[in-house]
Amino acid sequence: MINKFRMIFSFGVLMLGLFFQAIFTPALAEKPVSSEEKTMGVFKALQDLDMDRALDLSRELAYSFPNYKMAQTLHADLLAIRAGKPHLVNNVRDSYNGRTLSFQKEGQLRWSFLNKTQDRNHHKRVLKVSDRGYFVLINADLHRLFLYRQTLEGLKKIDDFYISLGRKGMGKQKEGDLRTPTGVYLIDSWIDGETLPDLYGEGALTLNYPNAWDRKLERTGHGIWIHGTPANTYTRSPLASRGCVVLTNPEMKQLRHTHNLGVHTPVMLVSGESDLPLVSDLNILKEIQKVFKESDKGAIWSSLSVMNYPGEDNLYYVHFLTKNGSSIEQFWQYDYGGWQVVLQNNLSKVELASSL
Amino acid sequence: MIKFVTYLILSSFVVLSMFGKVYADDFQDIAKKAEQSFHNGDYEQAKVLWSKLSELHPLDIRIQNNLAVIEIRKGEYEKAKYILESSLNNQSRVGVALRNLNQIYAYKAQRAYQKVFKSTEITTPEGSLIGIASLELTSLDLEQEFKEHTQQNAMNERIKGKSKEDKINVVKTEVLSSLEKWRYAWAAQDIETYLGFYQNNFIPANNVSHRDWRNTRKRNVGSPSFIHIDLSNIKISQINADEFKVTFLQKYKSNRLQNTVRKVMKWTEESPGKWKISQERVIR
Repeated sequence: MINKFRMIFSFGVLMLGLFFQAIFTPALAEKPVSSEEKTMGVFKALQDLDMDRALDLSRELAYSFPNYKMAQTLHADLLAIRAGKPHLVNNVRDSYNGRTLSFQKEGQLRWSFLNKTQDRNHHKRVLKVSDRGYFVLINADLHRLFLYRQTLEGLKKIDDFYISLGRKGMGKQKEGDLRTPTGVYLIDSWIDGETLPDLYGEGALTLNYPNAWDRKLERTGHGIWIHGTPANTYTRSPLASRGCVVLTNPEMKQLRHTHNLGVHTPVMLVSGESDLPLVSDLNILKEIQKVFKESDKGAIWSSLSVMNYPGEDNLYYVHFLTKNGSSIEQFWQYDYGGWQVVLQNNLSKVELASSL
Repeated sequence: MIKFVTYLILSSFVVLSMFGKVYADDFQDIAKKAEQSFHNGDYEQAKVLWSKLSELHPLDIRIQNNLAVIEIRKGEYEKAKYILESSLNNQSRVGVALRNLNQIYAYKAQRAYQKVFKSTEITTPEGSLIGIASLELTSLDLEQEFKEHTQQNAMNERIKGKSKEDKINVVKTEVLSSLEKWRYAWAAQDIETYLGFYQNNFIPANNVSHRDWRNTRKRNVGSPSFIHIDLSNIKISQINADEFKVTFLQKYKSNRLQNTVRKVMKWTEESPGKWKISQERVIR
């Protein structure tokens, strides 16, 4: 009798314990230190003239990320300097000039982002995104992908990652120009890494480049994706792809599995040439609202995204869903004293891959 | 005063018989056995013996070096590196020089990566002096005294047949070498030894309970990947026969935190020759 009571009691305590653990663990768990935080920690330690800490951190970094070539080189360089043989650093640089230069460029991009964070507020281009939706901003100057989420208080930055871009930079015009497009695109599918060559790593979120506006301007090319890295590579150098946006595999996993980035998520790609509009014209929202009311297509207001189009004068990108299941994208321009749709495209459901 | 004389007599009897000359013979004996074991390839036995000596002479770099060599022979390079680095850094004089050297290395590394640092300034090293001119006792001098002190285990000799002034100096040395051992235990992250320097009824500052304080100290001393501590500007004065006031400048540095504070401590003699911290405060 006593034993039975004890068993029930201890079982109860155990369950209670598990219950509380389940409730509290996620809140208490610290966010793991990212490879970037560690790398920046090494440079910060060097700036603080603390070689011991720099070596400690770079060792940790090199051991935890065996495929992070920049980190391996950094650790090797620090060891060489500490051993009083700084010429070894130069020997390696002479033999692998291009590679070591791109490591330094990557380090410089990450370091200057950490120290300045001038992101030119490109998210202010966004007048509205669909309710509870995500918005991805790719800032080519900073080599960063920013993930925003729509909240009651407006757009909130969730995370940001270093990215690798097209070898020839931004402003894609034609097939094979090795450039990444500037503009606004929608994610239209997820392709799992298992069905793709190793190059794409974790997998790919595909973008609908060329969109209607690109086609109007006779831009060509295809297969502009946001994807991961091959198994033997942790990050890629700043300008390394054929036009895609490349992240690390853990970051890709985060985008896909933690945030569930899915179809219709708008992705804006901006670079230095695309200046911010001086005034965000809120009139356009009123105008669109009016059109929505008059429309018999059953446009869904909560699905609406409106944003200023980078690299163009006074062009706005509009996307929404309708009750009969159409996905419509429109390009609005101010003309003849009012806001008008200059181009419309119905992204039929068939066009969107079913894998999402 | 009566107490003072009592333990003077007590200690000369008790301690002489317990430690005395036997101790030094033991040291040679163990050292010899350790070396033999090492040359016979019995690293485990050599390690046990040297570790035993290391407990008695934590600052003796020969012992630490030999323990590191065992790790090197076993291919445990990280362990060996840790032992060598911490034993060098914990010799405070060598530690300061090493840290100056590290500033230069860090500067060289910044230069090697100057493309990365394009957006910010490169920091240039300044280095830290080791005081020579000052007549004050510093932790550097203490090391030497501490070594001599433990080697001859001065408890038997401590005050026998000495003038009053000499007696006070002996006791002062005891307190200061306890301070150095306290610093060493902290820097070596030897939590038990470190906490052992505090009286059981030690009352921490800021109204923290003794138990909470112990737990916090265990965490703060144990968890950093390294701790460096420099004590300088050490001043000692006698409060009464078994209590001394010590003030010093404490430079603390770990992988997480770096600060410099001025501290005042009260050391109390718990039993003959055994000095414990009864108070510790950060001033200013």
